[in-house]
Amino acid sequence: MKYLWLELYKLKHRKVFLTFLVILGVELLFVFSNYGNNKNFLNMVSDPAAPAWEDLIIGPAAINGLFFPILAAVIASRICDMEHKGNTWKLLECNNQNRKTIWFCKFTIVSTLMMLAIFIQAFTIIAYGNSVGIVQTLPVRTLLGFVLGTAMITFVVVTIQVFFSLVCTNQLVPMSIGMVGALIGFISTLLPPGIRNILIWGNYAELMVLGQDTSSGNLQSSGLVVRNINFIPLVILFVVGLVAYVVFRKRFEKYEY
Amino acid sequence: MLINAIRAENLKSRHSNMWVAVAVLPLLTAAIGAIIYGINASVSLYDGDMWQQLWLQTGLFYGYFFFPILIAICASFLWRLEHINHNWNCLMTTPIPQSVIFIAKLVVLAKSIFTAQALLMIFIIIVGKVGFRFEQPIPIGMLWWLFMGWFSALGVAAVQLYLSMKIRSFAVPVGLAVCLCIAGLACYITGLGSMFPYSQLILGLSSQEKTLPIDSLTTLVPMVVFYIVFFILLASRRLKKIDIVAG
Repeated sequence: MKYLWLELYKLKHRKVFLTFLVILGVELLFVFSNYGNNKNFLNMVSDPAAPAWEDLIIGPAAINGLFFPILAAVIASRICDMEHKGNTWKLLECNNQNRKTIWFCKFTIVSTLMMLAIFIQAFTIIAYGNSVGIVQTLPVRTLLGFVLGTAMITFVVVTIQVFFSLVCTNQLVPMSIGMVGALIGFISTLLPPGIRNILIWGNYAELMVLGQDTSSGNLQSSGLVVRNINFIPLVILFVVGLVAYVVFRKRFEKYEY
Repeated sequence: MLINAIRAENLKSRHSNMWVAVAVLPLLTAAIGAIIYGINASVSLYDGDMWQQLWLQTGLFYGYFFFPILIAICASFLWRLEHINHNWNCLMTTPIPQSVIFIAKLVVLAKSIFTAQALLMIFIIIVGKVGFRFEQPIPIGMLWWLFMGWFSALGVAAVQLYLSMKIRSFAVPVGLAVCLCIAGLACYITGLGSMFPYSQLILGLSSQEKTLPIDSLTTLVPMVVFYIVFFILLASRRLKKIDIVAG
């Protein structure tokens, strides 16, 4: 806990939280500014049978694939790069802070911020939905599923970003990984389920709780169908992420600077 | 003097990981574009100009977000060398004008952008000719996609180089680039595409235009040139007036 506070102390005046808030703010502004002009959504607001809440949830769900890998890459890089720039690795270890603690502190801060982003999104969904007066009952299970699913995928993304930001002195590598992740995450809704599940960042598309009703074979259909989140690929990804977490931590503990 | 500065910048970026990033993004973009085109082609949504359709699938999100992010990463990388190991002191004591330092970095960045664009076009030709066996000839418009895409990206390059010079962090300018991409998209949607660098890029790539937007040249080209010159002047002024923190 002491080291965690020290880590937070190091972030003072580094504007990490400001960067986090700006990127998240732009994402939320981008997502929710569209709903006011969306006639389909506005028609759904007063219809208790229409999936208005699900329509609100897919806004952040669709765009998280783009923003979350970049957000995680930026925060992780910002937190880890200061150690590279100051060449403080040996200094930290001399001060009785072992590699395990360094990993834990960095990982905890990045994942806490990412969890905060998810909760802010969920809160914004509820606040926006209530402000426009959606008459449909809030689907709490779907919203919790969205939060849980996003957290599971983001855990893996954070693990990757923290590891590469820690071991690569040149931050070009983790930032490029973030960029590739964002590309895959954003495009993943257009990819078939099998392919997108293999690609780590592609799993953000599994959180789309509303889709087009193409059961009649009409690909231009405007009918909407509520979908349950398929947690099987997410659980598999999360388990792989846990293994990666342990492997990456051990690699970091043995890494020579 | 400028030539020597460019040579020095080339030397700094030689054998760097930047070129891997420059090659990987077009490769991934082309692969994903091919997958999406393949899915849509199999349900016969497209007929007519196949190359244009392939370019639409490939270039749409590339221009919106990923090309500016790549430029931001390369710009951050070019300045990162100066931000570490007290290199600012070394750079600022070299007997060359401050504007030349910035222009030399812009030239190297322009070279990497052109490489990315050229690679993307090569991958698209491979996807079209080898992957989908297009019988239509390779369109002459591809030269527009290549050169105007590259030219319109120079405005973004100037902005990102300035941000990376000013902000000592590698990651923050990249994060800002994502936010500016959203602003660019908003400008493009509202019809102010040629006014903002990040939407100029979308116009230049013209992945959503059925015909080449030749009319837009009269506004696009001067605005891109304006942003390049403006940020060169801004950067030179900053380098002259502000005391550099080396670390």
